Amino acid sequence: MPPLTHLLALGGMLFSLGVFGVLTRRNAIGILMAIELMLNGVNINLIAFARYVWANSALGQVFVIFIITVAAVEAAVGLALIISIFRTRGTVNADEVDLLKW
Amino acid sequence: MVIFYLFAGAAILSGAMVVTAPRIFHSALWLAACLVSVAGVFFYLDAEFIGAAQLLIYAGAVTLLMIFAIMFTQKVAGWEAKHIQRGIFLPLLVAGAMLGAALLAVKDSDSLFQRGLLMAPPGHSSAQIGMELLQTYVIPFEIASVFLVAAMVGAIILARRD
Repeated sequence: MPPLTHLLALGGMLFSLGVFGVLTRRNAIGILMAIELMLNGVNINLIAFARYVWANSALGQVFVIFIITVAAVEAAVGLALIISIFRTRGTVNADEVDLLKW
Repeated sequence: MVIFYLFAGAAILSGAMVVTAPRIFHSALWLAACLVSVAGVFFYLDAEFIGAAQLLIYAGAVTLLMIFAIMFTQKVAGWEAKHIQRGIFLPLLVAGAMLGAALLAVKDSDSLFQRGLLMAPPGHSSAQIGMELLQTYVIPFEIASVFLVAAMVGAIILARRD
């Protein structure tokens, strides 16, 4: 087995890549994809601890199942919102959708 | 051991391509590759149920939804790459600082095992997940199903053409 540190580092790297993507992408769908990347980094951390630490329970994996559920919901509702914004404003560029920006 | 590093390297490389690919459609395909690699890591860590769920839900359904949404919202001629680069320096600084903090925090997490934390034995866990999901955590499980129905209805109403 690889050391626990390497798994946690993998999770941290995926999370940082997601943060970078959220900050640089202008397309709203690209931002959603970067958020999925961040959630995957978190899931790797949870699975790593569930595998390495003896706990007599599968709580880590149950937690990951709920995260995957919420991520699927987030993708469905987010993409529906994006399609609806595209219908009314003709763009999915996050810089141009700034009606609520003061 | 080697297999784990292959999957991990593939996940990081394709993850980097997701956030840097100039065309959003390519970025969705790289996202699928990244999610499949992460599923490989899950299988390697004896989490076969989570790996299968990752393949079905993430690599299958979520990526497909993304590709559908991209095809709905891009003008067919509009493949020009104007969706990245609004100042690369500050995002790089923030993400790099987070990565540095994360690596610093996990640097010597293996020493926990020398200080009395017990290492789990290898073994498959699907049966235990099923038991706990329907006994200890049955209320969150039911709430999650109500949540899914609400999200499905909401998504249909939002995306519907009036």
